Amino acid sequence: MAAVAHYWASCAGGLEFALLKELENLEGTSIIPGIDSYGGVQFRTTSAPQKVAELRSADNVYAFLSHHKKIPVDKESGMAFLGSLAGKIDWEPVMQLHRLWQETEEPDSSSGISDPLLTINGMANVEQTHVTPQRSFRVTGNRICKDMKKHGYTSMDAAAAIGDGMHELLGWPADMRSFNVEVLAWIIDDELLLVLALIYSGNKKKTKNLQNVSNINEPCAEVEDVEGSEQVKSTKKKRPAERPSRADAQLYSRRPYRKALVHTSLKPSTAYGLLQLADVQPGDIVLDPMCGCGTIPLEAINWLGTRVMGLAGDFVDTAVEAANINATAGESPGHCDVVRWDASMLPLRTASIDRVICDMPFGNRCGNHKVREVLCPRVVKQVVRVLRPGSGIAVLMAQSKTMKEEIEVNQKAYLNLQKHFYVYMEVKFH
Amino acid sequence: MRLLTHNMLACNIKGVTKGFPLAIEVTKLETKESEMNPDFLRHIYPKLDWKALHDAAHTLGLNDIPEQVEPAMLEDEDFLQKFHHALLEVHLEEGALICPETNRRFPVTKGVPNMLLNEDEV
Repeated sequence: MAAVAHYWASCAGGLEFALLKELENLEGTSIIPGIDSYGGVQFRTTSAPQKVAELRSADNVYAFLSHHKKIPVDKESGMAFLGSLAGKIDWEPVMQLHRLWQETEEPDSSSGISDPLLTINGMANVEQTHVTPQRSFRVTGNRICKDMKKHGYTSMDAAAAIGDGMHELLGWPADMRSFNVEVLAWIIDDELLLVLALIYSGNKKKTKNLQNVSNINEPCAEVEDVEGSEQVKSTKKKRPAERPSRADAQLYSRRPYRKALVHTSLKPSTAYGLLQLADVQPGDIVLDPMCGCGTIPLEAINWLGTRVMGLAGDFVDTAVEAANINATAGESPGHCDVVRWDASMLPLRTASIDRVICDMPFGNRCGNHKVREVLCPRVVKQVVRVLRPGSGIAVLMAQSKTMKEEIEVNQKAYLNLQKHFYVYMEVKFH
Repeated sequence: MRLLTHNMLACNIKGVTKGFPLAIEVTKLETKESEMNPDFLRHIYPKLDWKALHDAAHTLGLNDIPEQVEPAMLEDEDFLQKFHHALLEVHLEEGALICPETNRRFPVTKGVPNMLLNEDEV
């Protein structure tokens, strides 16, 4: 029985085109337009969770709950509005979808959730809503002010108000630490998107076995905490052994090559979006001259198998080590080699490479501004040199004024700048 | 390091004009089997410096790579298997790559060549 499920798939803002392309090929799917402030796509599909989980350009997938514009932002009416949200949602299909995903995750139901059918038959929750079984939940609120000064409530207030409404309606106990169900409320100014997590659960016993290669020797400066730096694994903090971090429970966390990370690791979903832009062809050599832990070439071979060859290179020994661990991890679907080099002096033959795809160092995480502004244009020169003329394509993601200038100079002679657009890498939530 | 990668690598020390192909010093080889993709091989063939591949394969002890390739051979399963094996299945795990012009040694450890230059070579 293929019921229609209603999803929200998140992705880096600007890369929705890749998600839309994938959804075109997902059977029984229709896109629901209308939500543009958030990175992602709303859709309905009859495809099974296993198929939805194969979406490469999605950061994560959620059960869609509701979306509202022009919500009250002052304290009193705001909190009242948020408290009323639970009553406007049809929880039955949502919880069915949630159960379907939990079963897909853990068919042996080791997560400790009782079978809702048994519960219903056993008349255990006769006083509560007749379709939803007992489960613990939490609401996670995120709030951004873009064009307005301030909300009358904090994200925690908002989460509490929504949670109160849910508890009143459904009777589930709230538990911030150990929960079966998580509702996420994302507020941007007076717009609200409400979704339910399908993968992440505070109860999950499975943890991803990720080792962080020490970043002590990296020239890239401080290890930043929290804001947008999902991949930072602080060696000081100790997380409760059973519960995986949110970063480990994204859809992209499941990539088999994602064993060792560096602290500026690119999300595989973003890497996939960049690869889509590059129009990779069979027989291509896909190069990332500043590969970090190798995400881009490894995503290429994970996606395209033996149709391409991956070439990953980096300057820093910890990055090269991480990339090598990832490239040689288990049964690789394709071929990827790792080299240690200086990207501003690539030891590669002229006109030998088909595709260069690179997430160039930028922002405060990677060295200092001066170093970058000297490095980036030099790397561009090398990229121009090693690309095969006529057919070579480079997709470079960066934030560098001098690099932009270098590209402009080269455009007159060598390069055809096809597209220049923005990808939102991180969104800071309060 | 696979021979496909070797076919792209060149010494870039300042002033060097003949930095390709790098000579190979073998300390440890490893064979990792993988599925042959004829389509990939046909696409990659024109991009290779065949002589460099032939000579490199010879250094690695693989003597069934012909010096010349006729187009018909790219349809021959037997040839493709040997081509695939030399290009992608044999890994140089430990050893070095040597610049033909300067004799500079680039060490290869755990399958990763270190092509970093010293300050005076830049």
